[in-house]
Amino acid sequence: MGNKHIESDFEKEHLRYIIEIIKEQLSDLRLSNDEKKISVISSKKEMMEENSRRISSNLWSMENFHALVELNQYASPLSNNISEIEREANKILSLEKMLNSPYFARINFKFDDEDEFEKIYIGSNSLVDEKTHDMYIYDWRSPIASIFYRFGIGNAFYDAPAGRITGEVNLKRQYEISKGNLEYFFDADIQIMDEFLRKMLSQNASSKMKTIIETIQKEQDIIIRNTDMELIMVQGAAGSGKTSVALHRVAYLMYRGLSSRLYADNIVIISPNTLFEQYISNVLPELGEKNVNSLKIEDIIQMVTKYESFQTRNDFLENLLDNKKHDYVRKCSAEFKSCPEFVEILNRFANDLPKKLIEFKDVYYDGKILLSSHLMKSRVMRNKNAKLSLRLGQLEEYILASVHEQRKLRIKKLKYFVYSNKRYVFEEEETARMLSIYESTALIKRIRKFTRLNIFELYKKLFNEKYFYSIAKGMDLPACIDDILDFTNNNLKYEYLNYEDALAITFLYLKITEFNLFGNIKQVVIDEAQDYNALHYEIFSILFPAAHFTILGDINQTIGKREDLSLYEEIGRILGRPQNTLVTLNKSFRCTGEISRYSEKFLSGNTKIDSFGRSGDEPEIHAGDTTDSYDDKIAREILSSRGKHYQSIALICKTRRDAFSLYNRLKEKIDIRLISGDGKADISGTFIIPIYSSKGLEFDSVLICDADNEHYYTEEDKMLLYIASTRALHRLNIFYTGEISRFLSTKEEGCCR
Amino acid sequence: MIYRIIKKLLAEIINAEEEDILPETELEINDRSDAINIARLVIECEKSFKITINDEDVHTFKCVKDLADYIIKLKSDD
Repeated sequence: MGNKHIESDFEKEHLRYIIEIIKEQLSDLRLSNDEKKISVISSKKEMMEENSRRISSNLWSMENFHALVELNQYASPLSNNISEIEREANKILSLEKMLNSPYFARINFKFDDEDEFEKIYIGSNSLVDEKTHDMYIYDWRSPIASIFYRFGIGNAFYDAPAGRITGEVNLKRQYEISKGNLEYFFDADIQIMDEFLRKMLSQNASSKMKTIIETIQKEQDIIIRNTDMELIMVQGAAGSGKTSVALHRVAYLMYRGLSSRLYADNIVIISPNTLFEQYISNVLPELGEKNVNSLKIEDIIQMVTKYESFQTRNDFLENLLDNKKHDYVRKCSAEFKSCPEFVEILNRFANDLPKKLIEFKDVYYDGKILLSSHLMKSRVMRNKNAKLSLRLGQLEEYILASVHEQRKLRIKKLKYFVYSNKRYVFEEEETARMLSIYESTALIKRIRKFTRLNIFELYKKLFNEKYFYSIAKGMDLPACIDDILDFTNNNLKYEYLNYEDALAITFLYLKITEFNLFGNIKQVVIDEAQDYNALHYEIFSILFPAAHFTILGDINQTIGKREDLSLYEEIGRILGRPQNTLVTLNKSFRCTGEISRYSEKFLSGNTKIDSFGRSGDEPEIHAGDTTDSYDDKIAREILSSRGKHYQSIALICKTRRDAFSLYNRLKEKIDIRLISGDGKADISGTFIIPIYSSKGLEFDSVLICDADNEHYYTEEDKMLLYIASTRALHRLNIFYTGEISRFLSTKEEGCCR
Repeated sequence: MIYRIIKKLLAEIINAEEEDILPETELEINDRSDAINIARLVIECEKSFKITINDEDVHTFKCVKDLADYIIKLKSDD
């Protein structure tokens, strides 16, 4: 007991000491920052005055050009100063945050070649003595901090840039510090650590994802710090912390050594929708890093093709899931266009373009043939390393160069022609030039018909039955291929593109034209990897040629299709990164043990999810005899969830259409919102949301609605039930009218009310 | 500078006040006389700026600004 007191006094004293240091550093930094600001403001003012004095209204004069150059010399140290101010401001911000809670853990570590244990404090940022360079606090991302996440008491090691460092741990301590006060601390063994984690997990969900630096698990830490692999794939059960791991990994990559570190514009996150983007948007800033760009697949389609009018992924899923619109061919078509065979067809098609589909026409100028279609074709077919659009551009340049060579002569001839016509005798030169402009315009338009490709029009030609069969020769095609061709031909009559066709066209654009917007991207993080197919990955592979990939998914959470572990083999094959690894995270931290166990029955095969045992209410199924009683039961559950002070209560429906109809019935009865669009929305309070929009998110209390046999009948529907039920942190309830879904067998449960 | 000269040249060709010519002033061809004026503008620009304008590019000059941009680019490529 006495020992505990001494320790407690020591820790309190240490915290006071650290906070003093932070305060000191803060006041020094604020002072220097203010001085710099004042100097910047005065030089800005000086520059403005110079600017207005020296540069008169005419920007084009030589004199003013020199003035601009000189001004630039002012501007350069100024912008250096500004970035220094920004750096300092960031440091101030992080110190201010540290005042609240400077560290969360400590280990005592003895290096093998030393005799004494050193106290290593770990926090969200490091704190260094600027004169002595002593480390008061280590950043959670520093190499030595990995010991905290990976080892208990006993021998331990960590990998530093200089090599592996070995030693021994004799204390692991965790702190709860808030507003600069030490609330409590405990010396951690596995059991107590678990207790702490349980406490953290039992908190309510928040509308923005939070950092997990205090509770990163060993297997998560291994993924976060892995820098050897060009491609890391993570198969993680629902709630296993995939997305958290991805974001903490990004923060880690942005922290690493100066030469290898990444900056925000070297990293991109491919995210499934805006809601998800918004949900994760606080994590990196909370970790003290700039947010990185995130892209949705729709953004990519738009950037590459410049098309505006195409079906979004959400609309595609809505169509696919809506049983009322059940359309077999639509589904077959989407399935076929997502398989590797179709990618092969598109590849063949891209290669075939100059051979068969581009209609080269002989080019004439001044009454003579300049280049025959045969010659043009063989010119373009050569040099296959360059993209087709580039080769065609070169052909155009080549033709125009010979036109330009002959133009003077041609204009002379035209002048003679005008002169001999005697009609426009006073404007001979102009008339001749006008005629040359006319014929040159016609010429260039004729040439561009085959040098500038209209990829949409070409794509239509792919689905010409005869052509399609010739290009797909020797391939296994689905039985309903003729229906797919008809269906596609029909759709392509309109400008509005189906999602799968928009993707195929994006792929063709990337195959045929130059697109180098993402050359600077060094790390791509793809979340919900199971939602993408071969064609998506081919697109990612072309878009990010120089990048490493971190890919996270769960084959049990697909929508409208089925996947198994071969998905990851396929990704590895397409991305072709030789250094790759697949890691499995099987422990789920999100749901209570009850919800975890319940949702497991929606999994096919013998997938076992290891749940981090936190206990809560047993999930229940509620039947409504009539629509009214069904709605009442839902309303009652909402009230009961509110009574338990849950912050987010989600009513999950299969489709947007279902969500809308439920909303229309409930909105009079209870305060509720509908989240159905592709845009931003607040995911706190009570709301109705379609399953596909809820992916990757988590809510305190989940109500799965319309769980009847019509809505949830196929194996794919079963997967939807898995996704919906694993959104719940604390409480799960299921509602239906009519015949209950065959996947919710009530007999076994004995919990039906 | 380039834009100013073009303004002056065009004003002379179409008999207009220089101030009335704006970057957005269209270089439309509705009839033969428009076409002759454009040809004349092209010739005058070539002389003033000592450049060659390719006849197949002329149809892309939808307004005065397009022509100015074209010439600026030609000059900077030199």
